[in-house]
Amino acid sequence: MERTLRCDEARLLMIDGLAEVPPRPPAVLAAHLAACPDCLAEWESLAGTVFTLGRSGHSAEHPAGPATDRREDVNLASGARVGSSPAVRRAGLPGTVEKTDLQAGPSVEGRSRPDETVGFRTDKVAGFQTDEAAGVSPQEGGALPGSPAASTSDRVLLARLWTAVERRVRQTPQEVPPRRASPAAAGEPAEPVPLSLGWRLVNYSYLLVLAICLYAGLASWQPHFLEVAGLVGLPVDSWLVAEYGIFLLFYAVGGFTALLAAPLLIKGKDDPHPFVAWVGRQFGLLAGRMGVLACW
Amino acid sequence: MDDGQLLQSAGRGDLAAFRSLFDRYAPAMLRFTRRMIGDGAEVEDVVQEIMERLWTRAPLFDPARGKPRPWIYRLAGRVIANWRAARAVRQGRGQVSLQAVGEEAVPASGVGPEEVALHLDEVARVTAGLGRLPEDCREVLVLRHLEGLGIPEMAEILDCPEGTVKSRIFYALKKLRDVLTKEKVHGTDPAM
Repeated sequence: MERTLRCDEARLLMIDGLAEVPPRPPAVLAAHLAACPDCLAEWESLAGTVFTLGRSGHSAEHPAGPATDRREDVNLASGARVGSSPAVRRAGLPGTVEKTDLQAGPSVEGRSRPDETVGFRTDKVAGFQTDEAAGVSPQEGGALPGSPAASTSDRVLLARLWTAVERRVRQTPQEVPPRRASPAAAGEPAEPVPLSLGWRLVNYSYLLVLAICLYAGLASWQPHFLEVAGLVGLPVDSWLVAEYGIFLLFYAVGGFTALLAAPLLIKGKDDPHPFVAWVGRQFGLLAGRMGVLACW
Repeated sequence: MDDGQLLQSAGRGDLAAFRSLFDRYAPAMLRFTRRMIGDGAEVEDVVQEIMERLWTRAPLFDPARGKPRPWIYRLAGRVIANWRAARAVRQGRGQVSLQAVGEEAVPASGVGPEEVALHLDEVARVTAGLGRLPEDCREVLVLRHLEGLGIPEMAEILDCPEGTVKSRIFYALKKLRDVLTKEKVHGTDPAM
């Protein structure tokens, strides 16, 4: 069974509908409004408020309202009653509402236009002029350069405003946008580009294979190491040396290399000579790799 | 040139570009300011402040971060908020009288005097009701239904998600409806 909207859900949908220009209930809300008189009354009241609010925006100098306002659209959505007086409605001023199928009862003016979801007359009938009629693009700015109704007093006001503003801006410096210091500008090397996932996979796979090969090699060389260790005088009786001696040796060599590499790495960072930095990096890599492999 | 290009040119010190911007936005700023703070001698001062601020901050406009129109409205909103805060300190008055705003709403010729009077009466009633709303409610209604800004633009101006903008519009409309209904029930004429 198809689930119907609850009233609290309908009120949330009204937000979307009222924000539309003109206010228009979404399809699923329209069905609920047809079935719920309380919600319908709420919608009508709010949409009517939108309507009266829109009508208050008409002005002598901008009879079509703001340039981006589709003034004829800021009228009542389908089915909403207007809060205006009957005299206004009879006079056919903007906002005369004709009820649509959403509402029962006769239309205000005795006419019905069931084919229209927005049942009202445009401002053109009542003497208002829309932006489209004035040939004004509603997209840019707030002025109505094509509007024929900019009164003399407004032009005088704007001229006076410009005179004052021009005097002020000529004396006011503009703000300077903050500059972002680039590493190149500071003489520092560019930040290293992180390796891509593919290259990281290759890198770690290589290390894994190397570790396996190294382990196998070291394990096979352990007996030979014991012979040499015995000749040199190392304590071959110790089980640690007997089992893992060569691994310990490998780890020690790695640590020793790190000791050598550390000052080179530090000096290479500050030294402008690239060779020193390169040598330091190689030592560091070697020490790091040996340490990792020894641990493995 | 579109608004973004004009703003960038003005940011480089081009006064001619700034003049074009002024021609495009000064009427809207006048309208917006009147609707936010009421009509009075302060409106011109505030609009001058807005345009001066637009000039000084034009170099900071980044077209990659947003459109010019919401940026300008946001700047205007801040100037108006600062002016309002300063006025509140000076006068301690919290309610804005927008009465005079409605008087400008005169239909074009061809409409009879009775209709004009009725229209003005209703407009005055609504604008007075607007003046009784809290600042945040009035702001969203003015931006949306009187200035005709879109929801995404308003979200940019008010620096909040679009859903929040829609909620604010909804509850602001409810408040306005309640204000208008109360005035009707109690028989008070806000135009008086």
